[in-house]
Amino acid sequence: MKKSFKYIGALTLVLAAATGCNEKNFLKQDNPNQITDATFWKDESSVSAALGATYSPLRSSLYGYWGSFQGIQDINALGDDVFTLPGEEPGTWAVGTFSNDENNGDLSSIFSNTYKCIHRANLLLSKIGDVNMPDDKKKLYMAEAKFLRGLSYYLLASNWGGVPLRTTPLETTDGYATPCSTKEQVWQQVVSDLTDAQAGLPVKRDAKEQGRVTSGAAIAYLGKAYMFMEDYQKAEATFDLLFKSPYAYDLVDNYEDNFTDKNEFNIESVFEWTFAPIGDQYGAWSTESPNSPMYNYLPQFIGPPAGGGWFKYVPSNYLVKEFVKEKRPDGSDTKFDKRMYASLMWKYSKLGETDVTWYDGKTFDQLWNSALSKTVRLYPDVALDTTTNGRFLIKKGTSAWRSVANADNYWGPTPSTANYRVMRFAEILLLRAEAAAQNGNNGKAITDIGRIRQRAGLKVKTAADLPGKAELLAEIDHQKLLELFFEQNRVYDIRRWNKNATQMSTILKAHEKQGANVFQAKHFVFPIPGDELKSNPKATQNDLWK
Amino acid sequence: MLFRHAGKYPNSRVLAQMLKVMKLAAFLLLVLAMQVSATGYSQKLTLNMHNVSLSKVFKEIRKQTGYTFFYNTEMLEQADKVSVAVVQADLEYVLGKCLSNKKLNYSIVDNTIILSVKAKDQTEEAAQPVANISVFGKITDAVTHEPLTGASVKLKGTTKGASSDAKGNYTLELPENGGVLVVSFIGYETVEKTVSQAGALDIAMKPKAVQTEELVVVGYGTQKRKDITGAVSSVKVSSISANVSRNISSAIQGRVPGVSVESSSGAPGAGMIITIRGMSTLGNNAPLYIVDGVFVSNIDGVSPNDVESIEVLKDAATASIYGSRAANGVVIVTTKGGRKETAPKLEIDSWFGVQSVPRRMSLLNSEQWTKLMSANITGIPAYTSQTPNTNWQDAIFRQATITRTNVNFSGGSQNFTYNLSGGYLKENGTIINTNYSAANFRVKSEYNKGRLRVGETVIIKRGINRNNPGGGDQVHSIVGSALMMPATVPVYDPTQPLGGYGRRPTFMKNLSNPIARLENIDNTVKDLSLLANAFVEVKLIEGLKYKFNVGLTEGQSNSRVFTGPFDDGNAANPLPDLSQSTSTSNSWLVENTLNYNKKLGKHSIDALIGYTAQKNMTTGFSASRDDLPIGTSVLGAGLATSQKNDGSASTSSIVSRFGRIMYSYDSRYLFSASVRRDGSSRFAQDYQYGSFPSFSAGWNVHNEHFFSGISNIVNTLKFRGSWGVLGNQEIGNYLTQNSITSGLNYVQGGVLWPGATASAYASPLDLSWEETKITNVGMDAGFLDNKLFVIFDVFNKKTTGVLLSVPFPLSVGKTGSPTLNAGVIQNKGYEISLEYNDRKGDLNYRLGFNLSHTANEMTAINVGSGRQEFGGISRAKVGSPIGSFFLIKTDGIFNSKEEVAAHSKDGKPIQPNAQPGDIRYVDFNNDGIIDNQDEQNLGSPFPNVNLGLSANLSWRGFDMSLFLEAVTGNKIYNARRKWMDKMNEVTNFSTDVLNAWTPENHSNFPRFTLTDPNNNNRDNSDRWLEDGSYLRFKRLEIGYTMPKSLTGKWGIDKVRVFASGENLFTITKYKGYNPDIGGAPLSRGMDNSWDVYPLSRTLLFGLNLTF
Repeated sequence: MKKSFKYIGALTLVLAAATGCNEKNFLKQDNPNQITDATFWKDESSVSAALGATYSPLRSSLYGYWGSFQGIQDINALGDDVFTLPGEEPGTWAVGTFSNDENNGDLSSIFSNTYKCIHRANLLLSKIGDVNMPDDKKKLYMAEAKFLRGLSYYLLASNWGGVPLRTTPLETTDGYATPCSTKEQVWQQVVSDLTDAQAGLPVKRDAKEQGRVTSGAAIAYLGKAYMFMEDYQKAEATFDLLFKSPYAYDLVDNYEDNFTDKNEFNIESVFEWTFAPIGDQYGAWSTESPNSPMYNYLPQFIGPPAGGGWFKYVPSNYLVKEFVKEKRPDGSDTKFDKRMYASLMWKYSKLGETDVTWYDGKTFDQLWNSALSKTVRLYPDVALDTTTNGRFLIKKGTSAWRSVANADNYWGPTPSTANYRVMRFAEILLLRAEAAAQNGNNGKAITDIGRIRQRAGLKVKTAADLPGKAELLAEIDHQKLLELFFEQNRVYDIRRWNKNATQMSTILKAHEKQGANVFQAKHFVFPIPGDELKSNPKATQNDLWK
Repeated sequence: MLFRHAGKYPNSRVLAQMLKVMKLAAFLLLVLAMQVSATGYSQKLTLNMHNVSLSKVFKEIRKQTGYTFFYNTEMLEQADKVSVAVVQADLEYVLGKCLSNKKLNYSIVDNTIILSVKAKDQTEEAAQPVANISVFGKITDAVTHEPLTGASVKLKGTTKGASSDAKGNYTLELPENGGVLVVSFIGYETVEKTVSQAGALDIAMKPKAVQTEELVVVGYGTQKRKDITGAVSSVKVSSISANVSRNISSAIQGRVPGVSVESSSGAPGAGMIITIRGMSTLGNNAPLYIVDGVFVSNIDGVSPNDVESIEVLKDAATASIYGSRAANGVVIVTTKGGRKETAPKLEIDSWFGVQSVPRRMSLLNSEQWTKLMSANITGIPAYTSQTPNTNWQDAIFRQATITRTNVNFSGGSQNFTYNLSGGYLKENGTIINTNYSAANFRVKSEYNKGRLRVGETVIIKRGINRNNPGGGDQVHSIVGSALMMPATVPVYDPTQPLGGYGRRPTFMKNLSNPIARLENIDNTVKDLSLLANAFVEVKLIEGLKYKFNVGLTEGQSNSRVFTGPFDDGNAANPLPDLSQSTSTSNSWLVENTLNYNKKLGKHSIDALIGYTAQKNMTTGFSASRDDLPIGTSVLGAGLATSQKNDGSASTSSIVSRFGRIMYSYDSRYLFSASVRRDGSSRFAQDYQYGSFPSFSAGWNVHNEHFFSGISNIVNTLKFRGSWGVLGNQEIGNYLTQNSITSGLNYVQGGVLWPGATASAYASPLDLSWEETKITNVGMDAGFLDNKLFVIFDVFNKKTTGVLLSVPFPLSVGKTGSPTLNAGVIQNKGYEISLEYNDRKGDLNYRLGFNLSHTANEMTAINVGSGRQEFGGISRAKVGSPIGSFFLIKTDGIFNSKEEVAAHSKDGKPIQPNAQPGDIRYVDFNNDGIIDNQDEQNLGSPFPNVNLGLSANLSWRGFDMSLFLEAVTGNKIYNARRKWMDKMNEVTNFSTDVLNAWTPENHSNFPRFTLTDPNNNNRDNSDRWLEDGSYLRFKRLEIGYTMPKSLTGKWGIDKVRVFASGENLFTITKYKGYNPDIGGAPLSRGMDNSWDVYPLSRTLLFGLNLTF
């Protein structure tokens, strides 16, 4: 018995010894899949990676603002220049017809992606100080990060108004609650970030950095921000910077060069969202993974089925009417505004010209017939006018120009890689013209409008044609509708120009905008997403949506 | 020395004489010592006592007769309990009866009864008169009436005996005055018969009932059922129809109170979801699974044929020995071993069956659809006799075969036992081109000699599963597409390129042809799992054992998705694509335990200490290429530029110490305490350790002296109580490490710009265990000879620091959501189980019933939102059960413009866009508009009551078992019906839309409108919420065992044929395919159209053979 106890005693000791050794090491398990924050920020390569990551969310394929689906689609659906086909994405339909609520998934996704860009910019700005790299390089990166943050706040201010303002990254789980700032405070942040960015960014990028932002883009967005803020003096002065050295922006001769991959980064281009044949072309719905595609999926959403598209939009009756209203002078090589040929497809012979084909030989009838059955969904809500001027399809944004069969289909051989022109000089001209008209500088406005009309092949208007502010603004309205059709512009312009809900509603009804009947003051902005309100105790819904 | 030797030869003459002398001497001694008076006591006694101690009987005799007893307490300690029922009997008769089997004699001296210890048995035996009588007869099975060969018949108290021959016959010579015959046979209850005369005596033996001295497996050991102080439910394989279940979890479905087992899917090979006593966390609610001592992630790797018992540890007292992983309860599976000293036995179970989806959704046919659509929109092609009329449900569903064979071989010698089994299952799915097959092999053996006991279990399983390939368009699964696709679309259309599949015209919603996907996408997963466990146990001193246990698991899963060239009408794949992935997981576990048990008089102690370490590792990689030339099927053939690959790995480790002490006094007072201290790598340093104590106590009231009065009515009465703390660490690895995410890419200069940054959340460093405190009070009671047994438990389970992936504001801009210790969840409930076992003649039957109720509540949320809720439609909100449905209430249909106008606040219509035929919504917050603020709690996905009813009957060679289950009070959000009823897209609809509201037909189904300005189809309305209660006839099995007289000739011990039906019928108001849909805490009861594979009804026919 005694012996046994000794034995047990010894065993217990052995057990105790075994337990003590290396338990600490045994329980320390490091993540083999990812490096940690502690070792990441070491040199310029990490800052460069962090900056790439900051660009990413705004374009993340099919979700981000310029990813084609939720950004470009939803904002375009809000304009009076297109009809949206019902029975496609319910989220887009709700946004486009003013029936969205705070739980709308599209808007929540755009909101969230925009803030991802802001977080990553904030993170870069807070970490770069301790990174081992030259100071002048640091300044360049910081300016670029500030541009992206400023651009993000610009998107938030112009779509949501007052939103939570965050200028430092949240690095612990505390302090996540932040109230919504006022719309004015958000605009101030935009101005501050873009001003800093303008000062620190280069005028030009060499071939290796092509696609990254330049100081011209910062100026353009700064000017546009002033337009939203209705500070027309500052806006005009800001835009003026782009008309002189070191900048040499001008219009390209061929309007369509702005929508194809033939003449990217041209003199008209101020900021392009770049696409390239990289990644898994079929992985369009994958957003941020190593193999996520870098293709441009916009054509998929617009084109007619015979061209491989999903055909979710048709030109509105109003747009077509505005396009055919003013013909080119007699003797011109085309009957209508040059821009109409790049923006729309129709049966040319119906309007007295020679028929052409698209998508490697598809006639308009073939294209239309492939889309016809789907147009039944528009009724009875919308009376698509196919008799007054005939039938029209959207060309701008599709790959119809490529002369490739099935070109719009992302499951086709090669989806589009045409860069998306986010800001081009034509818009600067029209914005400066508007600011100048507001400031009484009519001559400047007439000149700027003239450049647009001339490129479109229209007769240049003189002071006699446009004697006062009202005429100028009307012409700018008309030109912007045609020039920037389906370029995520229309809804912002009509919101800026018609601040009263009744006035807006009247215009929308007149232009047969879908959902015009239910338009209310709250539809000037998007509601703060429910997901934000549920998780951010300090945030409150926009007063218009309460 | 001589005496001892002599004992071996009781019949020798020398011995007989010697014993005679001794007997005489003893007699004389007795006469000298006491005055014997064997007559003159005419006092009559009436007693009715059952299974009580002798002292109790004596007490009663004293009361009735006034006689006192003279004895030494030690004498009675050796005596067994007695039963005596007499009316007006003589004292001597009663005493004789009480002491007949005891080692005691009595004598009566005046008014005192003196007890004495009997001399050695041999003495008595030798004293038996020599004259003999002969008894003979047949020994049979009381149930089957089969003769029993080799049963032993012994004269009690002697070694005189015989055994039955092949026909069950026996003969035995007895002393003239007869005696007690003891008939015993392995697996049968021992029978005792008093014989006083010669002649025929047939004996029928009852097979042993399960409840005799039931041993229950608890953590790191076993315990007698009567000594258990916690809440443990035990399912023995004999009470379940394990051999017709496809997996273990389905075999225990509805049989254990408080344990919910739900089908995640009707897909072939799909497992089940087990939840014990309600949802206590918002994350992983799966219990801890242990198979033969090894921690596994899933018990479905064990073939149901191999299961000996399944124990479910439900409260803290029993589960806390598993500490940080036991908060959701513990399920312990013990596989079958061999039995000592049994001849080799070979059992073969084989069955074949068919299964089908019992229900179809009622959808529009081509003519109805065309007519309805044409009436509402223009451009729909007219219906003609040529228009296809496809029944898409019939196209994807089929009647499928299923078959399983299992072979088990077992036996044992004095020191060695073994059990081997192998089986094969082939199950075709009820959706075409889906199937599952599995082969399993298992060995379990144990060797025991002297101080040493060693043993092992090895289980190997190979499974091959061809899965449903899933949707095609963005919203629907295969089943969803079959429901949405209008009947006018043909399945096949030879004019279409790439496979000739029918395509939806473009005016319809972008739907995929489900048949095209099922026929062209081969998504096959092959997995191999290995579980091995080995132990050595050494008895150090009497009562003290050291056990060293090593467990290993290894799992491999290989998935291959081959997408052939086809066009499903929504997307075209001109050339095949292939993606392959492999994942491996392995773990090791080392356990050192010391176990000490000791009985000191009435004190009994069982103590345990242990130290264990475990490590789990997983790795995986995947690769894919597109555009393989037709005819090739390997990655290397694909387009090199399309190649993709990925890989990941993770490791976690856990170290534990634990101790437990169980103490009982006189089998009356039971007490146990345990503590476990765990260290886990999932948490940051300084937060890795947690301690989990528990205490419990029990009181076996039926063993108390005062209880004897009613002990013949209530045979068992035990009260139990326990309290303890358990943990839950079921979260991902590395959560507190702030990681850099890569792949956040962009383009510069026309080439990839690889991006990476700290884009995701890390959990705070003080992230810690979720703690669940459980208080449990229970009672076990047995009545009528324990024929009726009742177990009742009440519990209160409170989880604090609930580990939750908390949604943070979108405006923070990080991806994902950090896991935090976020809230408090409470589950309260009760469980009752009743079982009645009896026989009437040849009929043996068992009826079982169980009922449980759990009330769940999210009691607090400590982080995240000021608005205190998580989730969407199904939400965790303080004060409501987890997953409660928050929806806008509907209030009928507007029948006129006046009704629309009348639904107003302050003169303004609440629903200005509504038309007659639209839904009237309740303005819950009374603000004059209908919006999301009007959502209210309209019910919970949890049933109020779960019920299970089972019966087993046997009569002669026939046996029958049936099982019914029911749940009531739960709600289901039928998202699938939303797609069929919503009518705002060009898809097929349910036939209910034919009754849609029109000015002429004021039905309660809203009007047809594609534009839907009133939002009749809003997701968040109770239009889609349905009652999920159901009663299901889960299983019926009828078997017949052929007479052994017949099968014995064939050399087969047992032949049983059976037929079985599963899910025979379900009574429910729920309109979907099946109402038991399970789901994670925040998506519970959400019947989404995504990958839900309907449950099937199965009919099986089978054969059991034993050699």
